[in-house]
Amino acid sequence: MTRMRKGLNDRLLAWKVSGGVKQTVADMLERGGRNAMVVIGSIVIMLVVLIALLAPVLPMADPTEMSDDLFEPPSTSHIFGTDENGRDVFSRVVWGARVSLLVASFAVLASMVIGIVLGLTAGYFGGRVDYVITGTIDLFWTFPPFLLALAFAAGLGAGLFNVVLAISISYWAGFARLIRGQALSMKERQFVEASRALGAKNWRIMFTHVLPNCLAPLIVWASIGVADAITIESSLSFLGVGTKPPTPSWGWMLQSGLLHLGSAPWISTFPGVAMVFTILGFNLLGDGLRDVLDPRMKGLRR
Amino acid sequence: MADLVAYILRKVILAIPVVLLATLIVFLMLFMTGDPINVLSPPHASVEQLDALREKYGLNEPVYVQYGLFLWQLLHGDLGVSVGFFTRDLEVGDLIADRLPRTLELMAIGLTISYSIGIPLGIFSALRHNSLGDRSVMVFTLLAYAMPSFWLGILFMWLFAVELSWLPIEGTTGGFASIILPAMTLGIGNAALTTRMMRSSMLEVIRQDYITQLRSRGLPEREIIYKHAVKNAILPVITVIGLDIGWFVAGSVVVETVFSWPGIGRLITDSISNADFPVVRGCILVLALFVIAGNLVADILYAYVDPRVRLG
Amino acid sequence: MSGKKAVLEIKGLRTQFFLREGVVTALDGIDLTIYENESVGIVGETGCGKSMTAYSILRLVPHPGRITAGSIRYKGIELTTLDQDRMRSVRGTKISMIFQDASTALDPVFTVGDQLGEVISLHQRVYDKKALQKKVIEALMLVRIAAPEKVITMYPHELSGGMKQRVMIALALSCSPSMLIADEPTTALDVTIQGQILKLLKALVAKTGSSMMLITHNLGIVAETCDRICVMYAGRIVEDAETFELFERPSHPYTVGLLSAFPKLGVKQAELPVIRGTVPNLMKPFKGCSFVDRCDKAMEVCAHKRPPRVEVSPGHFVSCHLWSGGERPGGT
Repeated sequence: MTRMRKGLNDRLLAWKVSGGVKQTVADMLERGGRNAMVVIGSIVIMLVVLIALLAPVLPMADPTEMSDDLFEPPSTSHIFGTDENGRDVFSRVVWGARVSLLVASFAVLASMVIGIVLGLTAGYFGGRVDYVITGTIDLFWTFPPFLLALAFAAGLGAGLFNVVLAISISYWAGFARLIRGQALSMKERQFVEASRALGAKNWRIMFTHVLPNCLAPLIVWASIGVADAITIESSLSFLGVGTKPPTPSWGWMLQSGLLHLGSAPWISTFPGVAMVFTILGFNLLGDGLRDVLDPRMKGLRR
Repeated sequence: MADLVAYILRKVILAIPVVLLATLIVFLMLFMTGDPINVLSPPHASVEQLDALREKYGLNEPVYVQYGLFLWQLLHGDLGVSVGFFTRDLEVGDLIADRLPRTLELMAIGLTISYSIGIPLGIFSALRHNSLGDRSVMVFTLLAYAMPSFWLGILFMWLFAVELSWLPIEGTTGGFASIILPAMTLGIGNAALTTRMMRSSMLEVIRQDYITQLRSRGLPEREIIYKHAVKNAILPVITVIGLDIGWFVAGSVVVETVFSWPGIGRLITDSISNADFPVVRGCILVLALFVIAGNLVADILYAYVDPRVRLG
Repeated sequence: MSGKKAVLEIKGLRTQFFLREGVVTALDGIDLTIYENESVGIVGETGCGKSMTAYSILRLVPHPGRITAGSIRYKGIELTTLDQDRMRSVRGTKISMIFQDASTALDPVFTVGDQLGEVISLHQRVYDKKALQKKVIEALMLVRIAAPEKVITMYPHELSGGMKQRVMIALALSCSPSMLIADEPTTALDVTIQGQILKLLKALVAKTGSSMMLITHNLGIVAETCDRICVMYAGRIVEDAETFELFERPSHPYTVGLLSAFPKLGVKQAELPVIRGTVPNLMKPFKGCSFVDRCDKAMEVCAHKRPPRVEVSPGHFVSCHLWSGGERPGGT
């Protein structure tokens, strides 16, 4: 989370226009395909997403079904063992992936929407509108998203929807800064002047010109955002203000496993490994794409 | 020096609205779940108690008056009273003041660990750019960064306390040994960031013109790297020490919970499970003030060490 | 020429960059001799290898480049094979360099006094603080900086562009080198300041008696400052002559083009002529002359045989097949 507010962030903000949607996508595929970080990250993400999607049809126990087989170590019947309530850890890890990905993608999507709307409005209209919005952005930007999310979550109480809400209202400022900066620089550009002269509407101009030009940094930021959101969600759940207990969540599983660390380490270990694996995947993709797509890195020997 | 003072003053004034926002968010937390009196009163409170609390927090007044009252009480250090089972009617301010030194201690040691790992590792990595050593360091930072701190804490606990029994599992009874694991957990995630920053900063610096210029004067390579390059490269890294406070504040909540470290973070989670809302609110406010202070320190430090900033 | 002692002798110098995409030959067989008390200008377009020549002499070619052939001798000492420690003692004291942009070439986080003091104490072994400060102030006074006592406590960003370049010159001259390399010393400056700095440089070189290699793309500057001019093109020196001789009798077609593209005072020209085409790709090696694609007088031989270096008149060297016979082709 802090990473966004340190060095990395300035690079994204200073990121200038690439060649539009087609060019960005082409670049991403071509250059990304040759970057080990991007490739590994993508494979990891695809694997996790695939497993999460297939959760309902995979041949495994119900994640909430309790049994009398408490604290069973990994075996052929329960490959990740069972927890303190006799539930199948493997099944819970898989369903936990579903919850984490769901929460994280909705949270990132929502904060992206907030960020895009506020950023475009501020950057394009300028003046007093910009002043107010930028002030708000900076205020939110000051606090680590986790602390904000913790405050909101503590106020809202646990629950899937509340977690998404808490994360999105804590995370949008970065997106807004990015879009605003881009909108400001686009405003000066000739072709925007030209399309305005041709009678194009302000909002239309913003969506057709500003957004495509932000595509590359947006994708990078979104990928890292998903990783951050998973971290925040699982941390909140670990603290008891995230998703509610029957919902299988990695953070919550680690919390309950903590009590049995000495006797049944598998309860914590498997969800922990799955979590790191997933976060690593999104971080790799984000970092790799940033290296690959950042125009300043082009042509540099690395 | 005068311009530095003016700069600091400007930054302090700019921090005021941020403090206000923090108080506002904390104040609004009251209304997120319905009637504020529910979260501000202990369970099974009598009618008289409820009335007294309504009076204290001005809950019968319009919202802006309530906020004004809240600010007024804050200014007097009055954060309200606890409604938790064990701490009922104790001043929130006192509860927090009790825990504060523990959190500060943890942060200080965590910060020391993170910088004493991150800076040398970053320099090492940059000087051996693209070598096996550099790559291993990068893999370490990626892994360390992908580890949510509670998971890293659990791993450390399992390895060093449960399996190896080198260090105490939790609490503070072990003296200094007790702080090692939580501080390491807190420090390592940030060390990964520091390493990466130091590395890229160093890589940036060593291809600057002035490094070539210094070489052209016949200065020994050692002096060019460790005196000139490191000083230039370290500036942007140490100036974010204030921003790191944000990381440590957020991380301390989780880490203190894992290791039962009796600081503010632990107080938050305990209070959440005890439905002790006034304490939760007070803690979050205090942590937010930490972050703001950290940002302020970052700005000032930056201007202090880098003479170019003040003028710009 | 004969009685003069050579300070720097470069023979067949080749510097190449080994990139993933291929090998770039930045310098392709440079021959250059600089004598005592002589100022030699190196002119050419951007990217022709002027600065790389300077970096090669000081063995500061950036990675992934390196010197692959040739020799550089400083007063008889071979520099290309000198060990690092001895090379370091050459840098700064024997051969010193002025960089193009003083605002990026001075360390931003040390004061002017610290930076000058460091170099002076290293090479002149002055360790006493007071004595060192005196030396630093002297060095600043040499480059005519007013109030040097104040300037030594200042950081580079607190100085104007001209002042920074003066500090840079002070740094370069602080250990009285016998060879000074000035790489576009005035390019980053305002036109009014350019003249001042150039005058200062000229005066100081004359005063200290060191030789100078002045790198620039501005013919006006070399005409004013240098005794001799070397014209570079695509990593090679194509013509080498005394200043007056070169302006009067330019012999290489590239030099001719360069001079005619240079506006002359008092001569009305409707349009400045340009040299057609662009600088060639240095990635693919030339078999013949590097200028062949842009040359109006190109012959068949030019494409596949490298033109030899010919002395067309005493001290005037040209590498062009038009001159291979050793005499001036028709006219002129």
